[in-house]
Amino acid sequence: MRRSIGRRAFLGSLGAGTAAATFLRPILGQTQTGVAPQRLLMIHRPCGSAMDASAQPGAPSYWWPTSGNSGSTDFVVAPGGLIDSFKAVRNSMVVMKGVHCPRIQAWNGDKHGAGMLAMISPSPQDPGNNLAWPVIPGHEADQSDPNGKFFTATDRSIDQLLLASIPTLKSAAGIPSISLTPDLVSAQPQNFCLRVVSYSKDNPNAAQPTAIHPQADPAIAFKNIFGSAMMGMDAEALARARAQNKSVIDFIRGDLNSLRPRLPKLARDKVDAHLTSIGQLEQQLNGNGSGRECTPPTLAPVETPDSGGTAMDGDTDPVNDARYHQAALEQLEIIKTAFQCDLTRVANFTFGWGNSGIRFSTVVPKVLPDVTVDDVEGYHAISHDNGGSTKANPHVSQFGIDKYFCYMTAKLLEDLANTPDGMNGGSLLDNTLVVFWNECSVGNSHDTQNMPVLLFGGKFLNLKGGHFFDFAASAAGKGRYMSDFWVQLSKRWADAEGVAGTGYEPLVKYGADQWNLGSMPELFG
Amino acid sequence: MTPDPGTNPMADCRMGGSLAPARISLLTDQEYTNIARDVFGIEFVPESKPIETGDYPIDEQAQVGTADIAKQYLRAADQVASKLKPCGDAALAASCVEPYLREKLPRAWKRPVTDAEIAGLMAIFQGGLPDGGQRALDLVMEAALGSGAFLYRTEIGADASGTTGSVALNAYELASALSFALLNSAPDDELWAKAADGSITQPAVLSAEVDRILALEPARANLTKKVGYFLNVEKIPVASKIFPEFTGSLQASLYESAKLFLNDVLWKGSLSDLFTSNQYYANEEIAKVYGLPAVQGTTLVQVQLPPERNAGILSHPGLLATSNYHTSTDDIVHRGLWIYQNLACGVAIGSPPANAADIAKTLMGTERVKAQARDAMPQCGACHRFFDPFGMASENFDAMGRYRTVDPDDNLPVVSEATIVGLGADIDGPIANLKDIADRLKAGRRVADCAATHLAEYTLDHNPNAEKSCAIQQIKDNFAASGKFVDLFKAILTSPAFATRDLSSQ
Repeated sequence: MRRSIGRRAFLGSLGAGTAAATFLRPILGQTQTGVAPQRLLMIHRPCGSAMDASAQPGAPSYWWPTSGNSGSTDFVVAPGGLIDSFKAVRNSMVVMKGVHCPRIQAWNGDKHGAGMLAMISPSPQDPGNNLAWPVIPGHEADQSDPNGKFFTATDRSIDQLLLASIPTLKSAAGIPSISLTPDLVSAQPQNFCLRVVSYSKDNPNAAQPTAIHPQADPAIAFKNIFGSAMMGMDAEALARARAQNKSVIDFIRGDLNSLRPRLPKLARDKVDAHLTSIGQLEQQLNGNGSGRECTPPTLAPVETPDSGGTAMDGDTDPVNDARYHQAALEQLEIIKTAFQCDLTRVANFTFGWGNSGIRFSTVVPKVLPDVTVDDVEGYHAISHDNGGSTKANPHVSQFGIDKYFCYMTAKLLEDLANTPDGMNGGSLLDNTLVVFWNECSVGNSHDTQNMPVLLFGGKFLNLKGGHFFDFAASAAGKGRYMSDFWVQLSKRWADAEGVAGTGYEPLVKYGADQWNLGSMPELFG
Repeated sequence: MTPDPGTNPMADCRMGGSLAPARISLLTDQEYTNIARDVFGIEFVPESKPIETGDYPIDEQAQVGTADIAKQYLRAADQVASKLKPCGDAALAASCVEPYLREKLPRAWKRPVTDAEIAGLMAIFQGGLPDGGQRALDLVMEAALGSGAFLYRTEIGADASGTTGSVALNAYELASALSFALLNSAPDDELWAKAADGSITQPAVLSAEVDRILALEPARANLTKKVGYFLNVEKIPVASKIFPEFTGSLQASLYESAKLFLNDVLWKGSLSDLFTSNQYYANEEIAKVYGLPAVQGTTLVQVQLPPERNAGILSHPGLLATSNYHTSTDDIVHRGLWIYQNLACGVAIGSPPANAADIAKTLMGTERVKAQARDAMPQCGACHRFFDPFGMASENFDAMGRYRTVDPDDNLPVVSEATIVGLGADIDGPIANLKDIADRLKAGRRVADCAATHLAEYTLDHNPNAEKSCAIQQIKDNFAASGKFVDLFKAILTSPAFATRDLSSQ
């Protein structure tokens, strides 16, 4: 008998992650601990990068300085190159070299999906047979498919792990995290591992983590996050709203309790779980507000048709292309304002899925008219040398696309840096650790070495902004893995204000032993 | 007849046993949407679509296990509330909201609503009025649709807290069980009236209601979909292929074609038609790609399949493409598993050994040669010998189900002979092609029993073998004799074992 496919999907995995209900009417600016909010923002760009200098003579696309010693602040950046995009926030930027993706190239599964899983979730010990990633039930055939899409993470992703264990990452407003994208296909509700950038696992006994699919529609994201926020609500109205919410909770609780005595054991367990959930919801409603000022963004309508959920590798879609830039602007604005309002403290943004079919030739020139992106296939094909086409130079095109990703990210970072964040006199960027990552280095070969990862902000962790670090020579030339960074981040966070003394136990390793090469303390002061 | 491991031999069964345990079931997304439509008269549009896998979406253990899920149900209630007009165009007021709740809530809650419950909801309404009528209505609907009374289907009779015997469903539970099985929604007015006066518990009344509802188009569409899960039709829309010809429109047409065929078999034909009928629905794109009789335009019209597709559904293009998991090459293994497991309810096959992929990489040659090599290796052949032969018989069809006479792997004529083993005398033995398999499946009881077991599970949202009730064997016998799907559903729903729920399996 076949069984157990999630049939409660629409109510169990809303696109904007674990979003707020209208019912909640989040109370803004909650800072119950007296500590400034601490945040994590992970920005994913897909399909690898154009990193081979020999293939792109004259193109300053390096993700690393052209000169400068490890640990220095006086490193030199090629003008017009990719990291030059961030010159306005250079003092908040950390450039890392010699950090690799913790996986074996030969592991089965789509190389982009495998890269995404490896970068953000615990990688397993190499099983020696290429069958490394858990396959989603019902898709066992993918297990032996080198391009299988239906793999999932071994456990929750790093953002959700930190969120679950670090108290200062929890907003009392009740939106644990959000996950947004401008790419319609990235949001399609397929469990493709190369579309998902965050995995939760609330039930420790669950066989597999739950994919948090990104939301592509800014209007829905807006409603989820700002829907009925108690903007500027006075004390009397606030008290009344809480009483109203309590009356609803009490009614539901009373109904469940009246049902419970007549139930068989398994049904009682269900009702008990429901009662516990309602109790947790009640706790969330009882937070206190501090009156932080913020205003939801004003959004222009963005066409978001139902794309049917069937797009495959490389499929292009003119509607997706046409709405992409405006949707990206709005999603990034939503993230910034959600942080500013302290409605959530953990956010993921993905520029697109690992087989993205966005034709950036229709997007980039409107934003960066001097940047070249040839009118060939969708982005994934470009990342693979135009899918065999000789029409244009794929490396130039990929550089142009990377330039767009950097430009858009830099604009957000500048906005965060220019937005005061109350309490500690810092900015939103100071109080946010931003990880800007990709699932491959060289796109065409799905390279796992020298991942182009940049860090920003994180002043609350004493992240050494403005520094360049080269880890290539570490561990006798093995360098470091992304796992090592997550462990180091976790350790540093354990000493942060509001966390030290709370019982938070930092990671001692991340994933299997083979992916833990050593510490990276130099990143933090 | 060979004892069927997927069914419940009479010798083992419990006389008087129920087909399902006492339980509460969280509404499915589709049920939620349907109740919003049928009871409240509104279109509820989920913000996120369920993941479509093509498998029957059963999850008996689903629960409201986190605060986030509880919140999401409350937001869904807000969405419903925003579309309700309990006071017409007049301002929302208690004077019209209360009668509205008294009228609508009983069917939504699948039981009568007490005065105390109405009073509690109206107190919530009054508490919300200072913030406007809509806020007040939002709060009421959050309570009403966030309650266990709405979110769960209860099948517990008077008291299911014991651990032995069984309980009889009360009239409302029986009506709901019937309605959700057939309509995927709350009872309609006629059925509700028979629950209210208690007459639905009378076998004759229940039987008449089953007949009435079975004739309704929504019930037929719902049951066609359930049979579609059994036959893999529901996997056609999610199959992936990299052939340029396997376009989105072709895939959609293949799905619609399969549903039209199923509709004919279910409501006008019988089980054996699945394996003998050469009727098919095609449009121009299907006909062109699959070499069928010429058809013009996009509309699906009935055609006769050519002689090479003489194995009923086994040779239908959409199902051949869907059961072939490889996107670009033929796939003996999964085609074989489809027939062996779905249609023949063969012995459950375990997971492949950890080094299966490594072994697979060492196999060279045509798919037939690889199958023979697997058969020769004990660690592979122990299972593959049961299902690979079914796939080998489909070698005349490529990965997307196009007929071929030459194997592209060796440029030699396709060989589709194989030998079936392990399923009993009525099926075992040499076969020449898919037609031979179809002939044997239609002749024996195995497919009828297998279909009855699957469809009983989809109707009950529960594997009926778990309770070891003799009723399931009676249902199988009935279906084997009749062959009519409508008789099968009626036998399940009018069985005395459907009207009770088991306590001992808790």
